[in-house]
Amino acid sequence: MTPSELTVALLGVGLFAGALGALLGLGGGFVVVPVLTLFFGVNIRLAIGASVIAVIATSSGAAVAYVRDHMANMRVGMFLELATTTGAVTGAFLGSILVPRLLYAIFALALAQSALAVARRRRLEDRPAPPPDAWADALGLHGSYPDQARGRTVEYRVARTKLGFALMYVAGTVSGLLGVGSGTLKVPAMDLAMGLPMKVSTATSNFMIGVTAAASAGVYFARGDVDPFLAAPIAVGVLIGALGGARLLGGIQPRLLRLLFAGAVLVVAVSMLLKAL
Amino acid sequence: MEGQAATARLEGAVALVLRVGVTVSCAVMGAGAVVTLVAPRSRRETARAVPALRRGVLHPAGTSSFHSIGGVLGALAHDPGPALVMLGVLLLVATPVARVAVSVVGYALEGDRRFVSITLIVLAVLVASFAIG
Repeated sequence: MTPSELTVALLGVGLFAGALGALLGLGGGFVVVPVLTLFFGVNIRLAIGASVIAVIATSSGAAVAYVRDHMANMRVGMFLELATTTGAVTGAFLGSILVPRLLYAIFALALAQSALAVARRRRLEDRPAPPPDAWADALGLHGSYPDQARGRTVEYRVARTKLGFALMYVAGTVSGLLGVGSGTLKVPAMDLAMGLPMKVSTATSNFMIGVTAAASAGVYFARGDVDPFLAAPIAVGVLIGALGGARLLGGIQPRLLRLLFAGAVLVVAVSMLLKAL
Repeated sequence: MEGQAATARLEGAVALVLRVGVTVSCAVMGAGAVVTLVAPRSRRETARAVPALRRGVLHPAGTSSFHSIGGVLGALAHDPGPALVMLGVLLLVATPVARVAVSVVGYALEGDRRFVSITLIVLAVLVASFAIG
């Protein structure tokens, strides 16, 4: 494979990861790392370094559309970034200490559990009203979003802010450790714990992923794990894919989105479990 | 109502920062790719890139100088192609950081002290991660 062919192939990997990532509120790292290591034979360190950059690209590209369309809850995002960025720095440093096998196994279980939980979730209208939360009131986190599928603006209230914050620290740590966006943990933290609508959770997750990844990118860069000719083509491909994916999200039925999400999480869970064995 | 207008203004500013950051970084990465293709020295070294990636060593053209911002800027003079690509990657990393910085200003203009503090702490963590990394 010549460098030019490799670049084109990497662009393609990026396109696929970006579209899927934006559609599901994930960073695309869960596609980039396995594809680079399994199909391209790239060293895992460099694959993770490239994935961090791709994750920033997906988030930044998709967030433009989400923020402009008032889909992401910026206040929730900014507040939770306190937890994800400190978690990401923790994770990037933990990466050199912990045994990866054990982590892969734990996360495979956690992912499988969250996939089942999301797939089984009832419709928004059937959900019980979230319990009142003094933190969400004080921080002014409640919001609304335009639902294209229903053709109106939907109001929602935010609950269990402290629990969400704690979960986000874990999500940030995973992100820093494995070089993924960890949207698979961020989305359930907002969707299931904090009571945000699925689409808002997905959009806000995507919005936060870039800042989370940027916090660990500095560490990877200094370690020399960011290769420009690996990271750049994937980043560009991911950006183009993410823009297309973000545009699609507004018109998709929440139920279909949830099932797509659950399916993707299960696939990642199985591939992670295989890595652990 | 005034709060909603301020929120919409901040959303607009954040979207603009993200779009500009992404566009500029892509342009710089693209320029770097073109320069690499044209410059014979870079092209020769890029040919060794594929086996090098498998061994887990950095791209030969970027060895040793590409793990500090100063190193990347220094490499612009003698081997501009790969250095430009790496600069584009760094600009992409800087985009979310700039987004947080703009939010600090936005919340300050809204007079939302609580969120000014929150975003300032996030910004400090980001800057610190580059400094200690």
